Amino acid sequence: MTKLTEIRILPPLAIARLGDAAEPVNNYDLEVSANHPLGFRAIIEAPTLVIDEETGAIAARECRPVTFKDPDGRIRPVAPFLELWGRTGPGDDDWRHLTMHDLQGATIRWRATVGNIKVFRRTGDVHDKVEATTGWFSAHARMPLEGRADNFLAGKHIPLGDVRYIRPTEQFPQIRVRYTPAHGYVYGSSTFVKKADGTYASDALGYLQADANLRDVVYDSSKGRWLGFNEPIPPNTPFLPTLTIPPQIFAGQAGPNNGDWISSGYLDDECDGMIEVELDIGGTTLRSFARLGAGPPAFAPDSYPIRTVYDELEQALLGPTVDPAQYTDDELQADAEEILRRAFETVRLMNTTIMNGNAYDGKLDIGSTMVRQDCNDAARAWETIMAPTIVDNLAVQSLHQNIVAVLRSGAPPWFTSTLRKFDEIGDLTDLGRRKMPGMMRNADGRYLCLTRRQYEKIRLAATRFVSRAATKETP
Amino acid sequence: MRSRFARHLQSVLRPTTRDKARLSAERPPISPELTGHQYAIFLLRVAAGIEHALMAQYLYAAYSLGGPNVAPQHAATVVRWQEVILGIAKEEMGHLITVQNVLRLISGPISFDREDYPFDAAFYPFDFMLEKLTPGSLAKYVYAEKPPDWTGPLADEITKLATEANHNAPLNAVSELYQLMIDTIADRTLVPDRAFRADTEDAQASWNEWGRGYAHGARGNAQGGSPAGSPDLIIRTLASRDEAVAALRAIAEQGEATRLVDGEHSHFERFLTIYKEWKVIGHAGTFAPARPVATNPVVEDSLAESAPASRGACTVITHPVTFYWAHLFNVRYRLLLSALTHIFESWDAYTANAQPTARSELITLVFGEMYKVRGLGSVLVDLPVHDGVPVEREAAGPPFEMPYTLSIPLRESDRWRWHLDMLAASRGILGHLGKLDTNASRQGFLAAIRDGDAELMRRIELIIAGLEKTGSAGSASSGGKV
Amino acid sequence: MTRPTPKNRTAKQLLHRADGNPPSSLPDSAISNCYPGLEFDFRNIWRRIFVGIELHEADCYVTQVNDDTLTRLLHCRLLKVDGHDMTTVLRGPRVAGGPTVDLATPTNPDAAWFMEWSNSLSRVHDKAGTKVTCVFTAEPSNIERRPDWPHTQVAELEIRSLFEQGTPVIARDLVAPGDLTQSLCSPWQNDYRECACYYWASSRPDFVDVEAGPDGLSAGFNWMDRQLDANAPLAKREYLPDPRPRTPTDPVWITYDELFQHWQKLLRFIVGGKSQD
Repeated sequence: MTKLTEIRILPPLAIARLGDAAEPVNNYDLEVSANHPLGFRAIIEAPTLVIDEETGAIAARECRPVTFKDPDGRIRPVAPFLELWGRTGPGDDDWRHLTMHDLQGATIRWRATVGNIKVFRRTGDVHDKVEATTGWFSAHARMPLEGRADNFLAGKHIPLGDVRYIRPTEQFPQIRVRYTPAHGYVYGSSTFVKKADGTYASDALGYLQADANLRDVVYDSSKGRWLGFNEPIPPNTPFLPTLTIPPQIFAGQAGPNNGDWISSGYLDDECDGMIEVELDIGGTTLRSFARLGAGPPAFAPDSYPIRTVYDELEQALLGPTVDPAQYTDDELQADAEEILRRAFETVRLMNTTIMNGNAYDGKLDIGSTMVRQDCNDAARAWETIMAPTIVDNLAVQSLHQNIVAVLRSGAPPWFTSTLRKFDEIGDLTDLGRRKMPGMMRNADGRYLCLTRRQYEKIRLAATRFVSRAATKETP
Repeated sequence: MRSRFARHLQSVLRPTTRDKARLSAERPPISPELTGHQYAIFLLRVAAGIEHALMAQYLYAAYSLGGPNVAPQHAATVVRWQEVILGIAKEEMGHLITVQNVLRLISGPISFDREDYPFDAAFYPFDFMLEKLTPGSLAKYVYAEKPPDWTGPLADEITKLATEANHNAPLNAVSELYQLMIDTIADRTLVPDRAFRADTEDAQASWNEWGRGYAHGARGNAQGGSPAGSPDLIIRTLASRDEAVAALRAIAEQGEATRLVDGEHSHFERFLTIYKEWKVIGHAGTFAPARPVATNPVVEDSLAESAPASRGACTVITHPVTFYWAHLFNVRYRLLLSALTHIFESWDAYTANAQPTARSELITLVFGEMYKVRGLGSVLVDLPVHDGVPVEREAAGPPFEMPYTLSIPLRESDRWRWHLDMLAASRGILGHLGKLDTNASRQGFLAAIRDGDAELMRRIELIIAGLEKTGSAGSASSGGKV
Repeated sequence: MTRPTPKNRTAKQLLHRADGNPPSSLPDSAISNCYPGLEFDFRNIWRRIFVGIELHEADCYVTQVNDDTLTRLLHCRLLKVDGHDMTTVLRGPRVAGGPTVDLATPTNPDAAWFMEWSNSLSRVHDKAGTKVTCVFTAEPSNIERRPDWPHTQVAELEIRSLFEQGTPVIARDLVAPGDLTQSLCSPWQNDYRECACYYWASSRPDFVDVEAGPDGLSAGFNWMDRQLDANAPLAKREYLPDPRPRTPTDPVWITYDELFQHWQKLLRFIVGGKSQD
């Protein structure tokens, strides 16, 4: 039996992605091409763990072709593995992925608990919380997560995926679990479609319309208020401070009063929660947990967002200022380049002409843009963000590509002060709106800012340049 | 003397007229060959050349800053100085562009030309010299930007040092030229009202398209080196004499003011501050904020073995790899200037069009090339000048050599072909560098440039094909869409 | 490609890529400019950051009080934490080209605006586990207030640590199951139809199958266009913006109902900028 001081489930936050293909997406790596550094990241096959459905053991670990949909057009889910790591000594490097050999003589059990409380968030009724748990388990079968709420119909649940403790074998002895998310179905409260006033919709012949959107009817409208729930916003009602921001973001329809939004009683099978482990070993019980969530697919899998959950967590962990000792010069420069690359990858998929607030076919206010939001939220004058002539998608791409290219030369970032600082979000002047990142929304509803830590990395990369020696490889 | 310009400036340059009292009392005589309107255009073109020259020299000085010679305790200071000087250079770009706008306003042809080698323009503030930042070169910059009434011991010290640094050739303050220019343009008897064409405003460079957010220190002051509120690019479109005069005054003040204007310090003040800070650290001694970059680096057309190590006041780059980087820099600088010229010489492109057109490509090209120039400059200051001489002893620098011509063809599609030629020449140079330069990080840069250029060339081919198919490949002034 | 991570082991573990997991399982594939978000509404981790109260994830409103000594704070607005402003003032031109003014509106007479928690509270990052002085409005308020709002009350509140001690996992007492997704769209497919691309174009694409046209300008499709086709001739590539009003049927745009029923078939993966079949 291995002496362990601590255990940890890694990754600490795993993201699953919905899809109802039988096989999850095969593993891949994303690589920036050395010959085409301004191109798309290449998707390169990486070792996939193929699980034997019956035994729950790894049948093979091999590279397989990467497709995001199966031949029937179903999306292949992302079903992440979570590994059990243990600390075998006091050193920082004494962490390793535990195997069944480490666990000999020990007992292990897992428990996953997830929730989808989107309805509760709107209604405030705790009986609307959809929750699921596997209970503690040690077997290798798929443990379903069946989402139930008090306000559900008897016998109904929403499948929220399953968790499987992968059976370790001699060939693959490591300890891991796998979370497979649900399928991305829509569930509801009524077999037949209802109108905003609560009456049934009927067709020209007077037949009721079955709601084809629903996988199943699970919600009991005699107990709960979700179907027909109104989330009103001004002007005809006073502002309600508890609403989500933005409000009215559930399936529904306009109600009789201006500002009403009447819920169609839909639910989905996203969720988030945790997986816990308990290990009785050597007379003690070690515990750990990790978090997981199931969200939509990443539809541009070769492109990364500019500001990510990881950036939030890194800042929360290490703070907004960067300890220079944490990075070499090259790493800082590479991090600055990565941020710019992500900006470029995002902008590539945006219609920057429309997002700039340009007229379309001579008409203004086309498409939902930050220009519209500034008008709606703050009665700011309607103006394009940048000059309307310079915002074509390819031109904007080109500019970003040039920046990435120059960063590759080792030239320090020179654009630190183009970056919007977090406390400058109130600046809706031309200058303020033209800061970077451009045209995109921040978590507070105004223009996007990098995390302070991201900003600091770029700024530090600029200052580190000064004392840097010429690269020693002489031509 | 370079006769074309200097002959019209004799009156300004002759020692007797350099007496300040006389200069303010009488207007220098204008050649009988020139109307007042022509004279104004002439002065503006001289000013444009000076702004361009200063900008290149300031950029070179800024790029020279840094390197392992900078002790860690001075790193923050040097970064600040670099940012300040870059900010000043950017403001010079704003001056250059606004001067073009004034030229356009009074129907003068635009000019991105400037003096190059061999340098022979006695009306420039000092002899054109690309060199690392030194107390002497700083003194020259201070002198060039100084206000007309600056006196005192520090002024004397700067004058002495600047004169020495200029090989005892005469110095001029830019303020004098600007004053003459402003007086001329403000003078109704010289430049009549009808010379000011308000309908040219659409064909001028606007802040919206060119300012890139460099206003009131909103950009370019991340390290806080520049005073708050700077850099502040002055780019204005002009529709009247008053606006033109106000813009030129603002430019002059940005250069030379001794007091805060709109809360901002002038170039003169900012350069002087660096000079004073340097004095505190110590002029002699071990403080070495700049790399040992060459003075006036140039490249010949080939690496002939018998090439001299220096040509006049220039340093000829002979290292076989640096040779190509320097040529690449020159070609991209040329592309930048030719794209700038293309934009300014496309009249109809500006008219009331509130949507992207192929002009977007041009403006983006200009800024993309500005970024590349920065990257290439940063590579060059880290490369050796000669084989066998380590870069710690002598480093190269961006040559900023002017192209053989700034003229561009008449037809729109031919203008795009013009740019394509430069990209094709780049491709050749990139090919050489791909084989010769084994440094991994520079290889990465080269690959990125190649990648970007391939995209750009493809798009330009599409533009050319589009122009020629619709038959609108005609002259720029015929209304053909850019 | 792995992005550089700091030398800190705990931070590296945040990006631990378990064997067999693709990059899209990692938190750096999940957007965090949540409004409300895609994979998570990550703003929810801040709701319980102060012991004893619960805040709105997206503004300074005190939604709940769990400590009897703090009931006076219920429904009030947080103004300052440890001397740092939690809101700012919106300023800009009311008229195009006009002077910069406070952008007050009838529903926002203070022109006050909340600054998202993540960056705002990073200013007290080193105070986790300790108490800090928090300034609130003296009275409950339905609207956000400026930092200099004069009628205030003060409370010393302890800041929770975001992570379980010494680990990279978000603390148990901060987030319960379901919390991170609670304020997302329901169903999430709704958001895809509505989400303007000014959020997360690299996760939920907007402009796809983009090629250069004869004028060098971009031509491509809207991702929601049913007819998008990576091989379409250039002349057929037109980006048609979100039709308003949104109707149950549309000749071009995928409708809500189609999304609910057939999102997997209709939404295309975009690889190399091109839509896949």
